[in-house]
Amino acid sequence: MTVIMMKQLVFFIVITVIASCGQNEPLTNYEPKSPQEQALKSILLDFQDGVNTLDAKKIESLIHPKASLMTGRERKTLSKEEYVKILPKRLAGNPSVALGKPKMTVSGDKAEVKIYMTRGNYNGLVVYNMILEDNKWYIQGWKY
Amino acid sequence: MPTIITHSVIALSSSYGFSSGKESLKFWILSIACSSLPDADVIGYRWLYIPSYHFFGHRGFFHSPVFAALLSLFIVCIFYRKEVIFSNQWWKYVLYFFILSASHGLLDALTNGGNGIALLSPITNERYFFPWTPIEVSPLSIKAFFSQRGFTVLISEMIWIWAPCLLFIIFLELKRRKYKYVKGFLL
Repeated sequence: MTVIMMKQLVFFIVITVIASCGQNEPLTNYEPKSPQEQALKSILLDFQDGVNTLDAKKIESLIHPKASLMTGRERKTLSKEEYVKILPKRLAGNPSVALGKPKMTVSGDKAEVKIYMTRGNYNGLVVYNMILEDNKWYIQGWKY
Repeated sequence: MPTIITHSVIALSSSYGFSSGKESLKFWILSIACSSLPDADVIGYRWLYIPSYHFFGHRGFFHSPVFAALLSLFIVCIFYRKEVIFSNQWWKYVLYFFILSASHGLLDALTNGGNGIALLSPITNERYFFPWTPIEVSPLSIKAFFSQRGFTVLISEMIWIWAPCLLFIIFLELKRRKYKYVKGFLL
């Protein structure tokens, strides 16, 4: 019995360690399955580029006017207007971003993109909600 | 979350308090597994695209006292089949493993980062912290853990968890020795 339990415990530890390694494949390697997914991938790559080049205007252009965006460790939800005000300071104060392999669900003019984000010591899952308006996809919100 | 090492420290000190000295290795292993198991929800977060705010997300249902109760019942029913159901010893084991499993979520609620804990799940998925959060939150990634951040977290856990656990063990040991001495003197 003890031997079996030891095996189970080792198995549990191994699984946890593997899980901790997370999703490391970059977004650039993701093969979109449809034109919508291609468009969504472009938005996310632009977002990543905007963060890494500290280009607040580029990020602002990707966000829908009625967006609700989660920020900081306190997980406060801000409107686009509020977010844009703090964006340059946040970009300057935070390390660069690397987006990983996404999981996209497109439903009509809405989409949900679950994606792994690495930013300094943070490595976690971020969920983007997207909306299609005038043939262009926008970020309607994100949560983590 | 505090690190798995620290959840194991809690398990070992609790085991020491509960154990009558006759407990098998199985008991100690189950104690460690029980106190660490709620963090298995990290698998969903890191691999299965389950966001932390989801019902089954990290620090969600698996960190709740209800899950702790289910887990303790499961453990006792599977690994302590020889105990008579509802006997005093059976209840002791259930209560012990429940406290150990539930301690995980409660300790996480004392950390200063990440999502709160779904302490009232499945009634509500609302996440909670205690008003006082002295423990540095541990990073989820192993890479981050082996950095300055991980070191800071361990120091914080040593102060707020390891030291009280050590004091608890010393207190128990002194109490047991005193009891043995008094018993020896009286007999």
